[in-house]
Amino acid sequence: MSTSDKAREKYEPIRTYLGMEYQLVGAKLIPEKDETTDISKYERPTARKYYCQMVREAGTGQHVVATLEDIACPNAELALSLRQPKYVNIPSMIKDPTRAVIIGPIEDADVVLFIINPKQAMHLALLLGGLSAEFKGDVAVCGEATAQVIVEGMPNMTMLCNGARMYGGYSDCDTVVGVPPFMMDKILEKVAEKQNSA
Amino acid sequence: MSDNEIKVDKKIDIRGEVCPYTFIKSKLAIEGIESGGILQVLVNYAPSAENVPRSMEMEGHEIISVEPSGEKEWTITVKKK
Repeated sequence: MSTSDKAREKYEPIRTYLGMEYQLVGAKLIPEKDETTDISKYERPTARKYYCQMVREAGTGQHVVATLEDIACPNAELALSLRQPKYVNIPSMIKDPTRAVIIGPIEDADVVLFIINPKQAMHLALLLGGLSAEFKGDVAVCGEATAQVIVEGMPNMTMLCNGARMYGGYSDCDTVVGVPPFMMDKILEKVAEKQNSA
Repeated sequence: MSDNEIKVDKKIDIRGEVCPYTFIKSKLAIEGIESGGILQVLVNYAPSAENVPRSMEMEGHEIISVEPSGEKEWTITVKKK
């Protein structure tokens, strides 16, 4: 069993408790200055795809590593710092340029993404002791659930963007919550408490 | 090259639109002109001024310029491949 599978197994009670359809998805940004991380052990997407689409597909077990050449959405390129602005000064939340994004494994992830419906998000909020939903319907899974959570170190919920629903394959009922990995053990403890008191 | 020196074949105003409609409307607009023709796109959202050109480049078109054309407005000039 790989370390990624061990982490996934560890947090499976959270997924079961929430009744999630999708698996938990980890996302890890590999900075350009990190020349030691070997990304060749991960599969590349078969075609250019939206980042949010790759996240949803990772929720069904399709883990990939994506570079700039693999991303079809200019918003995600910028949000994840895979590309720097060329025409207008809109700085990325992620300061260091990114070489690649590993999408899927929980182990060593920078953010854990929950693809859940509003009722499941309500239960997750109870486990977290509160959950902010700072979103504006644009740059959603890439920005609001990934980059923002990595930078601010706080969970955030996004109601997604049109791109996620048109190209990413998300349903009207789907939302995505990004959670900093250091909070996962606390969520697990809360789930155990709930189950023990039931 | 200034806009005054360019013969613009088509202009679209997509102020108020966000991704992906900015991309979709720009792509549909450029489909309607001949190769080598010029499309101008008016946007009023900074990410659109960055990302519409990028999406056009991804389609192989040439970005002639991205110029401020008002407070929080930009005109993107694209040459069709």
